[in-house]
Amino acid sequence: MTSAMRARSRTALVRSATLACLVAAAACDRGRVPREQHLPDPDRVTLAAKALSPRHANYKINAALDPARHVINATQTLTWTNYGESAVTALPFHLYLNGFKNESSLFMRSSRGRHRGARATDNWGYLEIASIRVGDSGELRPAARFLGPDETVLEVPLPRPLAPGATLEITMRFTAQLPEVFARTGYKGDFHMIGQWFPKVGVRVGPPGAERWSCEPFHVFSEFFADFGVYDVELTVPNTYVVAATGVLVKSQRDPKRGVRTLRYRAEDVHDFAWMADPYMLKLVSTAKVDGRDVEVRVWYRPEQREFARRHLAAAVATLETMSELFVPYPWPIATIIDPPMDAASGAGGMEYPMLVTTAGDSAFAPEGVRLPEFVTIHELGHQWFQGLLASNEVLEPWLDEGINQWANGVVIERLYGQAAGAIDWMGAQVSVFDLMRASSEDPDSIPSPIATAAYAFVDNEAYGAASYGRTAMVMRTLERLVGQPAFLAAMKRYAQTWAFRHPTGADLFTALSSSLGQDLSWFLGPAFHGLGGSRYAVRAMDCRPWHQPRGYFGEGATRKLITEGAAPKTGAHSCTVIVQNTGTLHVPVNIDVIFEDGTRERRRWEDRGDGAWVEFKLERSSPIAEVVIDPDGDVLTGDPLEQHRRVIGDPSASYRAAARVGFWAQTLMLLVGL
Amino acid sequence: MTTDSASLAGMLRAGRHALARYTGTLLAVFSAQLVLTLMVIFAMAGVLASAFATRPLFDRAVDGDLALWIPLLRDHRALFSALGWMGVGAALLWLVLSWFLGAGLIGVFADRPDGRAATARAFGANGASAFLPLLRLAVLSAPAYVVVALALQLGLGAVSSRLEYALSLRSLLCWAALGAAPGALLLHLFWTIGDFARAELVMRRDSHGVTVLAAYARAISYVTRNPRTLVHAGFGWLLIAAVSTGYVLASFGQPMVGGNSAITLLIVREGVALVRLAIRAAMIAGQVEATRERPCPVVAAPPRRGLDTA
Repeated sequence: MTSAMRARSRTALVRSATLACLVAAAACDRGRVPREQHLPDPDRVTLAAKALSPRHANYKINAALDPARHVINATQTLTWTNYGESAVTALPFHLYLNGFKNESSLFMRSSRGRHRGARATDNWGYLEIASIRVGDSGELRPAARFLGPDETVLEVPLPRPLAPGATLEITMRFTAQLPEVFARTGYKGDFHMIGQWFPKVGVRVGPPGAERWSCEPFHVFSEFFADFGVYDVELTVPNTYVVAATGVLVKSQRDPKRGVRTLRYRAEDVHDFAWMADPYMLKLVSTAKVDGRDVEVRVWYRPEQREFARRHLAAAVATLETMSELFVPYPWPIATIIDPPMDAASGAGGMEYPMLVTTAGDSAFAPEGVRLPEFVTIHELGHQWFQGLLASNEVLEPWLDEGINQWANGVVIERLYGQAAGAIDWMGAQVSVFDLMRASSEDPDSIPSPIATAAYAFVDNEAYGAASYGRTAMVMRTLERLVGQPAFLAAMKRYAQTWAFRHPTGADLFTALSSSLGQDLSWFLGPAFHGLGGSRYAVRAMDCRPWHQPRGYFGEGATRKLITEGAAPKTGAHSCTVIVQNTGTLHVPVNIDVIFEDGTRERRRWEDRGDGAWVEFKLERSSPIAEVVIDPDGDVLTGDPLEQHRRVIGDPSASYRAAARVGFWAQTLMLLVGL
Repeated sequence: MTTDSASLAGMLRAGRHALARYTGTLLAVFSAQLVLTLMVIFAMAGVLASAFATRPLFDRAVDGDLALWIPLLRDHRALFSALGWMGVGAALLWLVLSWFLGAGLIGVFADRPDGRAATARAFGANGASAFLPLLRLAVLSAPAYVVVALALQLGLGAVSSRLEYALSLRSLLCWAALGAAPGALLLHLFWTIGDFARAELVMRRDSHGVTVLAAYARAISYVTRNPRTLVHAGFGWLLIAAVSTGYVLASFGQPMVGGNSAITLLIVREGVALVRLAIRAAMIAGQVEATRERPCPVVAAPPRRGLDTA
């Protein structure tokens, strides 16, 4: 071959490689162009015939989205009734978007610009109120003042005190600049997830006659707390955008001249309103059967996420039906799930609003059977009950919705996918959901706050998450196993029925449980929710000796008698001692299985209620002890499982099997680096 | 194709002949690797047993209870990290041994001795005499791997968002392959250059006075002018990857329960390791064949020292 031929050959090779790369890149990627969307028909569903909630805070909002600038211009009228027994002189409003206004806000300081792996960018957000009027009063905006450390709470003094039982209308004109999404609300490219976007009035709390406002500044760990009401919201967006929102679409119209459409939504007996606008989202629809009626379930997704949307939809339908059966029926006619685009998932995904949630978990690492996407949907939809219906104060008691919901998610998943393979059922590998939750839970002793801690009082995100989610779920599961699942579920159902459309507290939950279960659970509930640490069970000692009659001198003087080995031979039986300890702060009765070398097993129970930190068992058997298992059925999920199962004589076979596997891959590495 | 070295078919044929003729030598090299591997396995097992022999939940984790690995890895991070470093240490020890074993193998394939004793002499002599030059070659070629690392970092960085947002394993692998391709191609190039430099150093260091630097420079020129050397080595590495992937797929979901199964698995694994080593040896034999037919350096050779293995 000549050098010219070789050069041509090399050029051809380079060209072929480049072409192959381009073809591969094209195969990996696809572009898209926005187009005008079909105008949706109003929803053919019926709203509730009567009010399900007190409807103290009713909002009428007209909002227009400018997606190019990510700005919403809106007017809202709040009709608010003073449901307390004391007069009100001022109304405080949450301006949550001001949490994203600058680096000095409490939200940005407490989050350090990060939330669940997403990071804030320089595309800030804010909520600016241009005008505030009550009835025919003059402009109130100049008199309004920010409360607290930043601009997330605005207090509006009323022209005159509002008497108990009286109602007022307060109208505001505001502009909401959305941030680039990193914590629930904002935009990413063309995708807009719009939550916490309007001025939202606080909640009156406290004993009758001495009510006060609960309207906390926006902290990264704190979510939301609001009164139930009716939201009548008109949204104007470009014709190229689809919209999904809390509520029922009651009217839709197009304005061809302006290239926009206006969609009117009505949501009844809810305490928040969120919406999504995007030019590329598609919709999958199904129906859940709830208490003899149909609930329309919708999943909005980008085309490339269709397979995951299908999984979210199946999980959503099953969750609505199961949660309705376990607690109270889902009261609204529609449930909407938004599956955010992949680049917005960490910021916008995994959040709950009434009738609408955002999900997440779509990933190459979550093939069918690895139920991360399903879990996120189940969790967020579970919040329709634990916060949506039982509207606890997420700022002061985050565990009451997050942790209780997490426990309920586990129960639902076990019902849907089975106990053994609830979390993972993939390529022969099976993992139970509660096993995974327990394994992922942080060591209770490392969390420096009890479960019952206000969101803003946690030292960091890890402590907040570990206590409010994982540890609460483990405590609830332990309690469920302690009293029995049927009784516990019945008690939780009664709690849900009693407190739906109200604002329950932790104390209300404890009272409901103790009352329904007919027993004083304070010995457990107190340390579990208000104390630090967990249970710390371990086998302290296990020892067997061949049993024989006592040997040695017995008696005195002439009657003294020496019993020797010959007179008291070994009988073949063994006298065994097992000492089990719990050096933790949480005490729960546990079963203890003693397994003997002949394969037999004996179960003992330690009624551990904090009276002592250890217990000793004496056993006499023909065979010595081989293993001791504390809590063999996995009833107590508040401690480290590794310490709870010990064998007397070490067996290194598993160590050899594991080492052989690692050794093989070390050998593979050898092949790459040497010879 | 150029006429200054063996054809691709010739290189492949040389590999097959070398394996058939020097099977015992290959088994001897594999024995060295096996001994090192067993040492690592016993050491790791000792460490694991000291921590977990009395904890049956570790057995459950090893036998497939995935959830238990979370607290195990979290609570015993230092122990598992130490095991990882033991594996890396073993690989580095094998690298050092390879300067002797690789040179010995090249010497045998180049000299084609007959009989066990002659083969052993050729192996030992070449291994011993080329050990230090190969060490120097390893040091000289190290900067190339920095370039490879940079290329991998840049390539994977360019597709990082694609990897992060991949929705299927196919898409993930597609983008990962695309991102890693420049680095992988460079790695393949530098590995092949290193192989040819090593072969020439062993075969012509004494006869033609080839220095480490000259051998590396000549290998760069030779490999870039003869793409078939890359095709030949690429074929070998693909074969090794195929054998490894085949083992992974065949063994997936097969728990290592019970003593008999564990021993069977150990034998299967070592069989896989032997096949991969044989492929690598065949690659080296092909490179020796190509080097044999490469033009010699023009520099006059000094008088030859040491054992004559010609």
